[in-house]
Amino acid sequence: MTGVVLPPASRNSLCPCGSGSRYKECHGALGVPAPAVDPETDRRSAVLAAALAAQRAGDLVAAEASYRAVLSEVPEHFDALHMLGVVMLQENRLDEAEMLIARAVVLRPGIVAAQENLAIVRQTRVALASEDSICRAVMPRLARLCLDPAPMVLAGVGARDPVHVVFGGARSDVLLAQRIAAAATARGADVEKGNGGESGPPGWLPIDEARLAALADATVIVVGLDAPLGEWPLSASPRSMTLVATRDAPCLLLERVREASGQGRRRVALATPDAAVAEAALLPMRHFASLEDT
Amino acid sequence: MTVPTGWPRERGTGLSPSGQGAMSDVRAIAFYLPQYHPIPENDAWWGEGFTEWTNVRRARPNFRGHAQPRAPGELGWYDLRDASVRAAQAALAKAHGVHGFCYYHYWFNGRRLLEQPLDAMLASGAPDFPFCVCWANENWTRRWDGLEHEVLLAQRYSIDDSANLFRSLLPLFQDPRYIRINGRPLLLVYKAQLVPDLAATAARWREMAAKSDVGNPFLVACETTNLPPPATFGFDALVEFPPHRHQAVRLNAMIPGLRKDFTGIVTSYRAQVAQSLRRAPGNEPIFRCVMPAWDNTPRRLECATTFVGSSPEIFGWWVEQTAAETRARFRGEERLLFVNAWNEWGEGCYLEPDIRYGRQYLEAFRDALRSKATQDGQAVIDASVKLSGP
Repeated sequence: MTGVVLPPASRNSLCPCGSGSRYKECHGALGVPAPAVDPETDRRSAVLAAALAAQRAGDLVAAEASYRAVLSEVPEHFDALHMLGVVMLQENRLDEAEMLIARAVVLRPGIVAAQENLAIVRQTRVALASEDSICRAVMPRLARLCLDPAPMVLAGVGARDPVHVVFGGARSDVLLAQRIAAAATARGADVEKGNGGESGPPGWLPIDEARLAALADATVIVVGLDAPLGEWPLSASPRSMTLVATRDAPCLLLERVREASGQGRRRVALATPDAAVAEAALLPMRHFASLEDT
Repeated sequence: MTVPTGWPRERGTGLSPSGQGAMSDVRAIAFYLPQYHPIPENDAWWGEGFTEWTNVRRARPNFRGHAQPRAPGELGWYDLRDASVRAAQAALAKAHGVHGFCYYHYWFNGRRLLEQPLDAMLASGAPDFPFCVCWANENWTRRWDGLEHEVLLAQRYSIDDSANLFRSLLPLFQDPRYIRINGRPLLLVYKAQLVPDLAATAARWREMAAKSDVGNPFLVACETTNLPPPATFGFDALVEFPPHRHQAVRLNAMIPGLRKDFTGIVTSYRAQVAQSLRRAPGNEPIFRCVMPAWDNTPRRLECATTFVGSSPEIFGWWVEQTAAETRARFRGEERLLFVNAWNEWGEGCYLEPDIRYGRQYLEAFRDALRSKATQDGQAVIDASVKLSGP
């Protein structure tokens, strides 16, 4: 399978697909515009160019915002639909990716890059469906790494207790992370907040992995399943480690339980605000309606 | 899955092989890399004191959460010239359901490389642990640095040379520890497709075996590429060799924090498992092979191929499925299941304990071979598991 073809800096550059042709004659034929020659004269092109630059630089949040700004003015804008779809693919949001790129392909059926990216999204979805099925099959084997019954998210947290809230979710999990941090603060805990994902709550700084790795006797709450935790749980010795799941994603749950457990070094507490997620989990997972119903 | 009849069943003995009956009559054979001691050739090509550990130590993460570098667990940064290391490996393998090791055998027109561990094991009689060999008939190249074309030591094939190789193996076949199938010594060839006159070579080997009374060799070609049925080139069977032949789903775009100069592939371990289990070898003479994980960052750095998403649970499930299928498809001593690998540390592909997982992959392996599903040899693929896909 070929990779996603992102436009090169210049349309005269070789196409990144490896064809040997120039981009403007290959995947870029009639496709994504080059960065505007004179951004002052074409505001929308400038926004798209900035979005593309952000996307190439890995700043998917900025790229998404710019593409959406264009789409709010021109809902059927081919380039914005297509490249926003690619951003969604990069963020593993495959439903949205397929919808957006499919709309782009309907608008301009002849653009090869969009067709190929749509094919990648669809093949990835099919492949991941098999993977979900495998992860569900093995999920019960992870029960030995989970606390049973699962305690409440803030169980035992009192005044001055060190609490680390680590954001590791999607953008829709931001409010939940803020609520959990606020609830811990309301109990008088010493709360530290860190962003371990792509798009954390405003003001939350990136997690300090070295500091987390040295943690002892703190309550750690990871909100969301999307972001890899990294290796700090291998050496940390927290008082408790809680994973808050916000959607039914068996492979992500498996990966996060494995990581949070320090690859088998401790048991993890699982919780979710969504009853359906708890039901689908196949692992002991606490459903909470509110954070203060303990 | 329906249980096929045909090749394996007709030729099987129905007898349980010795040694593992209490655990599982599926015999698991793990590929064994001997490149853990310095040799003059590697000193010259790679620098003084080079071993596989040199590569393992230099690896660095290519993305956030990338588990590199790896480091060995209880066996340490061992040297395979040390008999106590070889004994500890065999004890650990045996305790976790590994029946034997398949040693890579390097033969370049009479010149052998990395032969010391095998020769020491043969000469000393220890460890008392079953073994077989795989002729690693690739050119010796600088591939770890990505320079595919720089050949350090080339194969120059001839039937006479292949006959010399086989003659040198005759004493091994006479060792009581040598792995046999119904009396026939098991010999693997890594890239059989590279051997000219392969069928004639196989015929010559069989003649030589008949004259020397070691038993007709059971010849197995590794599936490093798509191969025709083994009978067409004079062999008895194929063995899968994951991740060879894997159809990689490229996940690079979805990997957070992937370094900008990364030119390799990040792909999915779970997709590898799904592809393996979608295959239905039926009554074809193809032995199954599983891998615990795979990541050749130590050898290829930013050009690596990295499978993400392995865990002892998924590996164990894969072993369970393939072992049950092996039990259903084969009879008696033909029930072989291969593992890539016991100790391919440069490819992140090992059962041996490491600092992150300890013995968890070994334990998952042992438990899978003992599980009821494996023992029953039925319901190979759980009906709830849907393996659609490319």
